Amino acid sequence: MHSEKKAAIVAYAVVLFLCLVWVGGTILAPLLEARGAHITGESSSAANSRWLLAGMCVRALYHLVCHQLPERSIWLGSHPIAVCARCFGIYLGYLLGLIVYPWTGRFAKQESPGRIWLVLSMIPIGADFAGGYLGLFENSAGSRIATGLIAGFACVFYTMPGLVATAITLLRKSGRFGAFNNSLHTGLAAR
Amino acid sequence: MVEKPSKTVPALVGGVTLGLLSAIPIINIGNYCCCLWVLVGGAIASYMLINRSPYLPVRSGEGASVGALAGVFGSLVFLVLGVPLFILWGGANLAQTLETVSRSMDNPDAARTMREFSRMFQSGAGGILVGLGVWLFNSIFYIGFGAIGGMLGVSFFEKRKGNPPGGGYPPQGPPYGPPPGSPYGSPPQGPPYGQPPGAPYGSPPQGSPYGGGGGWPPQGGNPPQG
Repeated sequence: MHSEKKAAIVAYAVVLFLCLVWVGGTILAPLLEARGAHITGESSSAANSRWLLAGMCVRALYHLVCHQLPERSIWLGSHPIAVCARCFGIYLGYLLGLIVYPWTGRFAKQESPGRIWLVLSMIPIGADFAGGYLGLFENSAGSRIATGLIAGFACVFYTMPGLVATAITLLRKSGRFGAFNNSLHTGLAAR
Repeated sequence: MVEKPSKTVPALVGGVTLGLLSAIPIINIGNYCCCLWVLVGGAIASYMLINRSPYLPVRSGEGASVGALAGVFGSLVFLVLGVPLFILWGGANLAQTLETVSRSMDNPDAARTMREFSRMFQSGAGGILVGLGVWLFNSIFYIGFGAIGGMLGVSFFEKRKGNPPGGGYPPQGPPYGPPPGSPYGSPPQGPPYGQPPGAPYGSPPQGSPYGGGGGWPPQGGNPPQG
């Protein structure tokens, strides 16, 4: 049990770090571009290029997972963030779910909750998307963020158990390799 | 002991599905919705794994591993199909996005710089390098989101929880009974050491082996002479 708790802590720390980097990156792109846009002086062009290149590289990375339409994104000053409002809501919801996860009593569990909650959490985001796509109503950045928050928050409870189980499996395999090394050295010493 | 089913075929099917959907132009727009096709590919892999495991319930960790494996296969499919298509058309799509962003910028110098960078994606060598870079980052996303799709798929499709159904494993039945259609037939009924039919020595003779009246020891009379 002690090793399982340790594996859960390792898995949680890794996922939390990656999530912080991922969410932070969405905000980093407009900040870098804004930095490049406000440099003045004789070397402003070269400095602009460096900051803009950095911001553009970050934005290009998120282009693989999001359409990045400016009219569907949250703006920081005069630059949109690297993902749309709905995607930002999902990622932010996942981050918030991770932050509260240790206090939910499911920290080291390897089984996810019943699927009914997963289905219920997807209904708002599905309805918001379908309603806007079919023209039934006009959704807003607020509705996209809110529905994304709910879906992302719920996803934590259906992914962390699997990641904990994977971490336990990896630790057990490394432990088995360590035991093999110990027995090998013991056998060689006995000869 | 029943072995766990192999993850290769489910991961291959899920990976080919997500690779094809991610590579075909216009259809790959689905990936702009939080890597939708990658999540679908991971879920398909976990669904197939569940169907191939009739006794043992598939756990969330196994869904993660089969989804990640599907992501690996999907990235290989994307390398073969998607990268050439990206070089031909995708670079223009990314460049158009950057053009759109540059038009909304207030600073004209910054907007001009961004337009210059966007043209780089449309050049020959630059396009190939960018295409391979896109594949590299796509592979990371495919593996990560594929694992997430696999875990969500297990949560959604796996109805069995905890122990296998019936509380027993392996399947219920007499543990040491003869298998059906045994080549040795069913064991004979009755006492295990009874006379087999048609004994080669016939039935034992009736009565005393020493003749005369019955009984032992012989009653009265003289013992045999001679």
